[in-house]
Amino acid sequence: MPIDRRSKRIFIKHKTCRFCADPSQKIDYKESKTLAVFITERGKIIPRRISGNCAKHQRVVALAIKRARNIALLPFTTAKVRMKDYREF
Amino acid sequence: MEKKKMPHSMKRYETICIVNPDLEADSLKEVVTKFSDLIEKLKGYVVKINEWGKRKLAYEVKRFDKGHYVVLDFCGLPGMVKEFERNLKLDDRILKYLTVKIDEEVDPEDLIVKEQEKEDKIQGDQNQSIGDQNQSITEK
Repeated sequence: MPIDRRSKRIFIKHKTCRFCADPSQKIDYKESKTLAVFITERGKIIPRRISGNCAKHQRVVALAIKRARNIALLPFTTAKVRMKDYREF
Repeated sequence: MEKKKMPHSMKRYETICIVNPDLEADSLKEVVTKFSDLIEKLKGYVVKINEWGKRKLAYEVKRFDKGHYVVLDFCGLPGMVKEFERNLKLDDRILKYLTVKIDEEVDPEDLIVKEQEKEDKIQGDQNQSIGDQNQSITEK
């Protein structure tokens, strides 16, 4: 039976940098809510290939996240919190 | 060798501090005034003080899981930040702080005027929006 190759093709949605699309959006380390979009559950910075940011804005976002981590607005890691949760059970 | 000092090369900085959450409102105010006075003593200009109130911290800092956030926006000569941060470090009530340079070479007096205009504008807008709301209510 012939394989229908077309159905197997994976369609990748083209991602655009949201900061390029909307220049009025500013990246600030104090706004942890907008930055939280760019970190994983574990607190890691989401790579550019997944987040869709352009190189320029990814650099700015990464710097902002690092600053926000420093002042406890964002977590470095959530491992400790989870350990605590486990202990409670 | 003596460092070159330009007379009007003030830079704009922003210091964000986490203050002990157990402090009363009065002593919190005292901390804020203490450090804003210190900025002026170090020949800087306070542009804006923004208090965020008590917020949950993303991780424990000195065994506290909450903290008062205070943002000090100021202009100063580059050397003053070191002295300012040293004083922050000495104060037990400050759990953590971060200083970020926002702008190079600003005119502080001009900035303060601009900032006030901005605030007036915001207040004006708020009044206007309240007026609009009232109007829409009456229209209904």
